[in-house]
Amino acid sequence: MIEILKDFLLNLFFILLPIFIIPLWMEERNISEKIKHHILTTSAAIAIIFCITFPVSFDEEYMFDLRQIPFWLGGLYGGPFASIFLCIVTIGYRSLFGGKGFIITIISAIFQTVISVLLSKKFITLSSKQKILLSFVLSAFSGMLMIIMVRLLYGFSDFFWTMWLVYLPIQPLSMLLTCYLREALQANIEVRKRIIRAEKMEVVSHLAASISHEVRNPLTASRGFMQLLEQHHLPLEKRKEYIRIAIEELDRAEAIITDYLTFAKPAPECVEKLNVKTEIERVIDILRPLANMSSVEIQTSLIPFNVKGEREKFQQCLLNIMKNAIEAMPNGGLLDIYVSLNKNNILIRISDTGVGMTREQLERLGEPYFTTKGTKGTGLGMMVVYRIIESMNGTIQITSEVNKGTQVSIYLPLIQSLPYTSSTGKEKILAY
Amino acid sequence: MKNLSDELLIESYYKAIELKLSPDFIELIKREIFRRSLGHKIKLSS
Repeated sequence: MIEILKDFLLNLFFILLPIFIIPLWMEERNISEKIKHHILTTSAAIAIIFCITFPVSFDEEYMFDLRQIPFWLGGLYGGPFASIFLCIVTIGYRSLFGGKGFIITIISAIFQTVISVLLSKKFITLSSKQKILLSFVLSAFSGMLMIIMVRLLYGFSDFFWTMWLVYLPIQPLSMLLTCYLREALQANIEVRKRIIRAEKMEVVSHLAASISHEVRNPLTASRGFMQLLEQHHLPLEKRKEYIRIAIEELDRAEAIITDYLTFAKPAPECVEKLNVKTEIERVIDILRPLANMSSVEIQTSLIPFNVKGEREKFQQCLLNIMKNAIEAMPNGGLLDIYVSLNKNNILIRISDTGVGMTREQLERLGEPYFTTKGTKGTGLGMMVVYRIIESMNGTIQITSEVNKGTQVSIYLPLIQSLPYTSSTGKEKILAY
Repeated sequence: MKNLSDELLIESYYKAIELKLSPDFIELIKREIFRRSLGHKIKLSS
């Protein structure tokens, strides 16, 4: 009995390993949804192969395993093609072992495939609880079918009751556990994503004050010039000039609002080639009102290198760092943004001449809910920055000195782009 | 406002005061005048 339990636990381990470690590993990396999907199906197939290779032996003749669990999971979450693929893998791999039980494998695999194909579309739309319940019921049902087939094929014998008592409860319970863990993991990943979004909305609402201030100026100017237009005896030339200036001011107000809204609006999550220079410039446009408010001067030295990442996330990351820099200089200062090439990495250096941080603060930086801004900060900004840079396969270094300023250096892998490869040598010299 | 000629900027400043336009607007023009280092022009005449 202990032997059986041991074997079952080993089986369960083979299921948990590829199905859980791989999604966790994938979450930290930039992998497109389609490839993720294929990797998940493949890991279910690997789990099936492991289950068949290390089965649970009831006695010398009869062996069972938990292969139905990865099959159900892969098929229900993965869709019709995944089910058919898993069916081929199961039958194909099982055929190598031969034996009387092979016919049972074929029947149960086809049964599982048909049910998965029929239910997978509906399954995805179910709530977590319903998914867990449905997979529990399905695995209990397929387990029962298996036992009935064994009964028909081999007739009645001693091990029949052992199977009835051991296999029948263990498979659905393992399924319950696996499915529950998977759903919990998924929920966790969703929460992490939502934190990043929530943090962005927090920044957006902080920026709103500076934006409204910055929009008021062009509107006041525009209104003033229009009033000046009302004067009689105004020469046509001056009249034209006033109109031109009034329109320019309105355009400025519109541009500020557009920049702000483009940032605030959620963008599709897709990994693409990003131009560091354009992205930094866009973020500066959004932050200029805030910088003006605390008379911070922005100085840039940008080179249009390309990196790979999600546009919205990258902007959010740059914005958080630059906003922190500006907020560290309430009485004005200089924000310097500098881009250069460091070996095969792009270096983005953002430095300020602000209040700086102590060594203790620097060490805790990036911890969730740790803030140096008192009640004004959420303590999530830098955590989000670290996470985004990590997902872009980059690294980040921060040095700081109290009352001197802080320097944030981001290193990101360079995506080669033809016009700039020729001049990399020159930039390297400039970088040091 | 940056594209307004110096001459018209100064003129607008006086007109704005004369017509009692909004103080915010006058402040904006004044700031632009000082930014262009034309402060002496309005100081001399006031």
